[in-house]
Amino acid sequence: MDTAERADLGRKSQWTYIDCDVHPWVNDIKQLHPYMPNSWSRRFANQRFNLNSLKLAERYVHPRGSTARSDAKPPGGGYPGSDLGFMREQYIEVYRPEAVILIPQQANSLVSLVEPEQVMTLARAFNDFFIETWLPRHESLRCAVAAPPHHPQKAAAEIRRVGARKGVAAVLLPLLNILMGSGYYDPIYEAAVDMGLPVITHPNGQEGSALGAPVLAGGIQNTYNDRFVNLSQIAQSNLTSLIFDGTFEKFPALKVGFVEYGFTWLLPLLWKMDTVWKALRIDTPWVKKAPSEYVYEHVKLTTQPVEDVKPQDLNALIRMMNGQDLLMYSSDYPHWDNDMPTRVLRGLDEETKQKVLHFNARAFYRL
Amino acid sequence: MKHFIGKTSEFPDNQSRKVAAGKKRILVWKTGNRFFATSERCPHQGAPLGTVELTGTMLPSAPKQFVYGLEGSVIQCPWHAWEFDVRTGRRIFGEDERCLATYEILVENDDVYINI
Repeated sequence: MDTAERADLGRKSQWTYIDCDVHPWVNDIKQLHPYMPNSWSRRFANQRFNLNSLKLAERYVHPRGSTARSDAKPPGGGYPGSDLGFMREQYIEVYRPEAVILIPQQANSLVSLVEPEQVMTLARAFNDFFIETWLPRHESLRCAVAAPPHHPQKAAAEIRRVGARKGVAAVLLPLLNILMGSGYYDPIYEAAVDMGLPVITHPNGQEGSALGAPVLAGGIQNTYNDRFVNLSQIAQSNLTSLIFDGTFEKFPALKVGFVEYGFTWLLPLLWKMDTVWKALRIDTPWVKKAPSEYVYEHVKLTTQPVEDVKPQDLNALIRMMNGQDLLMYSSDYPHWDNDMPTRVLRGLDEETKQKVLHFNARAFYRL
Repeated sequence: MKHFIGKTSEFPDNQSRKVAAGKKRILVWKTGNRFFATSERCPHQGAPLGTVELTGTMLPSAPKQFVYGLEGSVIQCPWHAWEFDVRTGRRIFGEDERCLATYEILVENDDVYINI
């Protein structure tokens, strides 16, 4: 990108914004060795453990060969997102976000593994790696620390271990095929609340593939497209679970974010939950107010991937769902379907735009 | 007005070279012996197209069959994978009006000109 192009983009992005979804990457497990006990690094070396296997399962390989943008591959080699210098050059210093929430997809994909101590060893290593080697290198960077739920008490201990570190903004909860309203996750929620951190969850690439990963409704899809379209089901079912299992009554201070599940599916779900609650409140008497009220009070959704529809139609939906109080902008850089801040959410009124692009995330992540 | 932009041998096959014409940033593509010119950025979200190579695509087919075609004619956006015909700038499939601008390329002997 030449100087004139950078200046052009810089002028367009005069407003401040926060990006709630950027994906860093670790190329080689040797980079994590300093952050794990020697015995584990020896074990992973013996196994020839490949960190690049922690991504979208091969069952649903992307039709273009990668879920990352081809132009985001660092010139010096490595996977897109692995070179902070190139990420800064290509994205951060062009669009100048005030803050970027780093979400490590490899740690998110740990649900494909099974042995809890192996999972936690890797999670701890990822967390320490990004806290120590990424966050200090740019003032905009924050991170979500992974708390894989294979052993909820160990996950809670990890949240308490790193949750107060500078730049840690959220707990990343990779999901198993156990809905979020289950008491199984309570130790994690308790720790997150104790540390003042929101809990976010994000597609991990294992849905519908690995045993123990979330399943999509109805059955197993045959194509990448089919699975991709239906990923929002994971957010839908987990959101209703949080509501009807009373999680927000158990943890009144808990904040939950659904990242990269989109948002246009939410409005009819709010209608449905409220309608059912009005009729059948006796089935879940611990749900003391309309489900939609819990959503507005405790939940946020990030915007990407935004559907390619007429801006006036999208904006009408956002107004109908009071999206100005629910949505937080995200790019998903460096993935193929990233939404750049100068090209999406057009035509929104200024107040809504500022809340979605900035203020909602500032409050949610306590930036 | 035509502007000289290089010798035919200077253009790599199935790739593009970026040329500037005033404020316009244009990609000049070479496929086989043919030259085409399009706008540089995807009309969807402005992704730069200069990093991709011309390719083909899967044509509409019977269920569960794959038929590959249009080799050397397709620009695939590196972001959201929109496909454009390098010859016309239009989307390969679908009725979307968003397309790439195209410009005339003239080749005289081994000299390549863009006509703007």
